Amino acid sequence: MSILKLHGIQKRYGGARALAGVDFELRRSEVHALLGGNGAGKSTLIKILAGVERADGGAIAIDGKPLTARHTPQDAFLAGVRFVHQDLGLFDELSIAENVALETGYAYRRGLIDFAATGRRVRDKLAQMDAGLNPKAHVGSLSQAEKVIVAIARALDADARIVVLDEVTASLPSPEAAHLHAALRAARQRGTSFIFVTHRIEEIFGLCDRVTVLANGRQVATDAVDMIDRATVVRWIVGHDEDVAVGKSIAVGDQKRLVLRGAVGGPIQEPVTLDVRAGEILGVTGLIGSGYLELARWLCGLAMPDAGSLTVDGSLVRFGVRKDFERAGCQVVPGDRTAAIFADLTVRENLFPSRVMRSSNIILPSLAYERQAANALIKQHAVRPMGCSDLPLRTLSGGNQQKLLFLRAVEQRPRILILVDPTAGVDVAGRKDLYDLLHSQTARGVAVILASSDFDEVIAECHRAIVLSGGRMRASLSGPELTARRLIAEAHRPEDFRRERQV
Amino acid sequence: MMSVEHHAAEIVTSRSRLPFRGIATNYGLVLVFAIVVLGFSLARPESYPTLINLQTIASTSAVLAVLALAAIPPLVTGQFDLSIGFQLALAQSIGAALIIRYGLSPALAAVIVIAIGLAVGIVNGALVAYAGLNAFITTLATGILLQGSSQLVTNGEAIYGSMPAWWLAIGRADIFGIPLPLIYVALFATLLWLVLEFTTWGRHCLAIGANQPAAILVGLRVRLRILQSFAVTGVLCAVAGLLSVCILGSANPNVGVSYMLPAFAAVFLGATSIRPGRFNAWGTVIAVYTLAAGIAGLQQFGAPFYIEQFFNGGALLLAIALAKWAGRRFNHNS
Repeated sequence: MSILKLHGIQKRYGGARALAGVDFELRRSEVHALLGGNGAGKSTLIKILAGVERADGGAIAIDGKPLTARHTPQDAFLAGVRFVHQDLGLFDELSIAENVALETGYAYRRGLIDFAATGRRVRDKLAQMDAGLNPKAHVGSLSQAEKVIVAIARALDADARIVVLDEVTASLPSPEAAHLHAALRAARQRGTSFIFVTHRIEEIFGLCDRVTVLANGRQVATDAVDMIDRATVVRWIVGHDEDVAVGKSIAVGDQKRLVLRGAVGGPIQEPVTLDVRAGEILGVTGLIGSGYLELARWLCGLAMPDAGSLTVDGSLVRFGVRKDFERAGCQVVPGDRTAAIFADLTVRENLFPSRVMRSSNIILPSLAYERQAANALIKQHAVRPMGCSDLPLRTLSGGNQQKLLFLRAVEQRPRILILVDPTAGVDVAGRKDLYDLLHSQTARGVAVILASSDFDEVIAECHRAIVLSGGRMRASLSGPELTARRLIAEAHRPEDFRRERQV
Repeated sequence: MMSVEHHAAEIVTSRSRLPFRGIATNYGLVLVFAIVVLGFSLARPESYPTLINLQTIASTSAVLAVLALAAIPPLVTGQFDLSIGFQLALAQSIGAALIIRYGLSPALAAVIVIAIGLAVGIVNGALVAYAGLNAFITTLATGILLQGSSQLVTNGEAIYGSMPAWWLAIGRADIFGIPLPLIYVALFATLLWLVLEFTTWGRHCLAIGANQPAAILVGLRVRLRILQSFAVTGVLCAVAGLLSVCILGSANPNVGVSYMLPAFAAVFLGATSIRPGRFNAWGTVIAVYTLAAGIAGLQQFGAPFYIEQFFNGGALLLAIALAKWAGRRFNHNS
C-alpha cells in the first residue's frame, strides 16, 4: 500500500531541465533507495517534496491526500514528512537528549525542564532504533554512524510517517554504515517509510526493499532490490553516456614530476604509491569516504600520513609543511571555497595574496601597476564583472570565484597543480573555461593531480586515474581502460562492502 | 534569496549610477569632521576657531591617535590586543622614571622604553600565535600584569619633575603653527597605511585576518605574521607613551583604561570610513580628531567632563549602525 505518490514531476532551472516528469511511489514500511549520479535530479526531487522548491508540473499525494503544488515546508511537515540531511544539524557540545529534545520538545515539571524525564523519553526513542546509546553522552563524542542514528531518532516524532535520508551516509566511513543499517531496519518495524538517497550502490543491498534510479532528470527504473544485481544498477546509472573521452590530446613528458611512495594513514589502510609526469593529468578518484580526499590533502600539504615519502623533481618534500610545497612549486585549487578565498578582500588582493605586484622600475610600490595586472588577467580570462579588480571577491559568482582561485594558483608559475573537486558547484560553461585553463598549464609542462569524485570529469580530463575504495588503491586505469563502467566497478568493490557488513 | 551575481551587478550599477553614494560612505567621516569644526566655529567664533584652541586639540589628541594606530595591526590579522592602554601606561611610567628619578638621558630612556615595548609585543604575540591562546583573554591578562608593573615602577604615584628642555620641545614645539605631535601622527598614519596597503607584509596580514585557513593554503607564515603584528603594536604603544611624556612632562601609572577605550572607539569608528569594513590608518586618525573636536566644542558650551564618554560611546554606536545600514543598501549580504 502506497503512502507517497509523486506523479509526473517536472522542474526547469532557467533553460536547464532538472526533472522531466518523474514518477515515484513509496510504500508503507518500505525503505526505498533513490539512486543517481551528480545532476541526475535526486536533490531537486527531494527539494520539491520538502516544499523548498516548486515543481513546474506534476502532483504529489500523501496517503491518498494531494499536497498542493505550492506546498510549503510547513505543509510537508504537517503531512508527516521528515528530512535528515547530510550535515545532520546536530550540536556537538550538547548531549544526545538535548539534541533530540531541542527538536521534539523537552519534558517539563512545574514549568522547569525535567532532564530525567527528557532523558527517559529519548532513551525510549533510541531503543526503537535498536541503538543502545546513552542519552547523556555528548554528541561530539559519537561516531559518525551514531550521529546519523541520533539525527534519525530526532526526526522520528509521533507524526513522522515518511523520513527522507538525504545522502546521510556520504560522509560515513564505510565500516560504520553497517551499524546504521541495523538501526534503520529496526525503525522500519514501527511503520515508518524511508526514502534513502545515496550514490553508494552497495548500500542498497540488504538495506532497501526497492530502488528507483534517476539519470538526466528521468526515472530510469524502479525495481525490487531482490530482483536485481549490481551490474544492472550500474547500467541504469551510467545509461548511454558511457565511455566519452575528450581533451587529452596534450602529450605527456617522460620526466616524473611528483612521486609519492608508501603513503599510509588515517582512512587509507594500504600504502599508496603514485607518480605524475610533466604535462600529465592524473585522476585520484573514488566515492566519498573511500580515502581519495585524504590522499589529496596529503598531496596538498594540508595533512600528514603516518608513513611514506614525497619527492618533487627529485627533492624531498616534508608532509604537512605548506612552505615546502610552495617552494617545490605545488599549487592547490580547492573546490571548497570557504577555506580558500579571502571573501572580504578585493579581487586584486585575492589574485596576489602572497606578494604585492610591483613594477620593477620604481622604488615605491605601485597600486596602479597591480590594478593593471589584475585587470589584464580578468580580461584575458573573461572573469565577470569586467574590471572588478577592486570589488570584494564575495560579490562575484561562484564560478568566477573559482576561476580566480585557479588564476591565483597559475600566477605562482606552478610546476604541479593539485585540484581537489575543483568544479564543485560550477556550471557547464564555467567548467569549460576552467578545463581550458588547465590544458594551457599542462601544455607548459605542469603536472596535474585532479582529485575528484565526479567520474565524468575524471574520464573526460585525465590521462590516467587511480581509484580508491575502502581505503585501498584498487586500480590505475589509463587509455581505453578509463571508462565509466570500470570506474564505477572499481569504486564499488563488493568485497569492501561485504567486509563492512560483518563488522 | 538573491544570487551572488545579483549583488555584484547591483554594486557595480549603483556605483556608476550614483557616484555620490560611494563618496558618502568612503568619506562620510571626513564630512562629519568638517561639519563639527565648522559648526562649533560658527557657534563660538571667539574661542573655537582660534589657533591656540586648534593647536590644543591637535596635540592633546596626538597620543590617543598614535595609540589607536597601535591597535590596528593585530586587528588586521584577526586578533585583538586589549593591553594597548596598559602598554602605554608602562612606557610612560618607565620613561618618566628613567629621566626624572634616574637622571638618564631622554634619548637612552627612549631606546630602553621602545625595547621594552617590543619585548612586551613579542610576548603577547608569542602567547597568541605560538601558544595558541585566545587573544582577548591573553592580552587582558598581560594588560593587568602591565598595569601592576607600572604601579611597581612608580610605586603607584604620579611622577613629576624636571626634564631637559629639548625633550619637552619634541612634544610642545610647532612648525609654522602646526604642533609637532600632529606631524608625528601624520607620519605614523602614512607609514601604517603604506605598509598595510602596499607591502607584501601588509598583504599577508590582511589575508590572514580575512581567512586564516586560506592564508595557510597559499603558504603564508601565519603564526610569524601574527606575532609580528603584536610586536608592531608594542613598539607603537611605547612611542605613544614616550610622546605623552614629552607633552605632559610627567607620568601617571593608572591611565591605561582611560586611553584604551577611546582608542578602540576611534579604530572601530575609523573602520567605517576611507576603506569601509577595513581597519585603516587614515580613518582611525580622522575618527580620533572628529571625536576630539566634538568634545572640545561641547566643553566650550560648558558641558561637564563626563560628556567625553557619552560622546565617544554615542558616536561609535551611531557610526556602526550607519555603516551597517549603508552596507545593506550597497549589497544585501552584509
